[in-house]
Amino acid sequence: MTGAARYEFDLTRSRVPGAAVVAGGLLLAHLPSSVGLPCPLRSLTGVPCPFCGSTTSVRALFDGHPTAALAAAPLGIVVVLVAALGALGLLPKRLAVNPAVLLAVVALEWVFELHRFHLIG
Amino acid sequence: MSDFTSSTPDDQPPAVPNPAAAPPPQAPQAPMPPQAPQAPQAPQYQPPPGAVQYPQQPPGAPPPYAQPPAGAPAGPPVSRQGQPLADWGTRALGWLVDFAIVLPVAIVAGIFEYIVPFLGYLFDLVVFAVWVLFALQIGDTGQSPGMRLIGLKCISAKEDQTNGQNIGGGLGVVRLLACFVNSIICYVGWLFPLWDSRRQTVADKIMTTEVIIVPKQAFSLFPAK
Repeated sequence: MTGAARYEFDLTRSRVPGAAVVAGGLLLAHLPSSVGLPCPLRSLTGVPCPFCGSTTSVRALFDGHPTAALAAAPLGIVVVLVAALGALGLLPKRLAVNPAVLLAVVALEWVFELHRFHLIG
Repeated sequence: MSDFTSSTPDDQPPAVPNPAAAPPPQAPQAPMPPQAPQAPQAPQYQPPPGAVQYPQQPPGAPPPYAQPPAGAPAGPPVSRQGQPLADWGTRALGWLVDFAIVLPVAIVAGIFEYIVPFLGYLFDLVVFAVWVLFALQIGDTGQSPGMRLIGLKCISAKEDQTNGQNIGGGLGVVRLLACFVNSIICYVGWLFPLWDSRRQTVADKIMTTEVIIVPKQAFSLFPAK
């Protein structure tokens, strides 16, 4: 804990999880679109969570449709990029980020999903 | 994990060797005449030159997190007591064991929900009661049946005297409810230990708890008395 105001990522073991995400994405692209875990928040309330659309985005990206991936969830593209870098061992071992930045990214993604599901603007 | 084989009580962290408390090395038992001069006392323990010396901690304050020396290869993160924090895979194994215990009842509940819905809901209550029982065990002893088998323990990570101790049964149940947050965001909260420097889930962050690696135990539904 170098500082209370920073969120620390420990990415020393990112190779296996990164490779798992890439392999899972490749597999997902060849499975029916109904395959995937339903979001509990959306199932219970009808409101998507900030991470909704990620599975659709990853599937679209590995299916060769980056525009559809972007339209489903921009975060999905980020996840695939980070996972690929992790699988190749190209990520830094440690990364300290201002939590406000992380919260802002998640909030923006949530607004995007709420808009996609026609719940706002 | 495999080198962590010392057996310690559930509620106590493994004893840290204290050179100052260790008996002095025994001199060879050679025959000595009466009134022979005594062997010189072992000198008081002094840290080796260059050893890191922590500043004095106020009474009751938890010890600081161990920091590896500069340039040393980074090992797994550890608790304030020096126990390694469990990684995501090990934690998932412990959870899978608990889930395997609950699964038969959950399957019966699912079947009954189609045949006799009232009985199905009763079995759902049984499933929830079993999770509550496990949560109480985690709070009281730090371990559910799966955590005992895999060798995991949940401890408080608060910056006070409770650091490293069990959180208590009540807070164990609150932690179970906090695990709902792990699931509600597309289950992403459960994945946090994959990248979190303290290997905590979102529920752990909320409850200020950590999961450490401890010696494995034989499988048992209830903690040993």
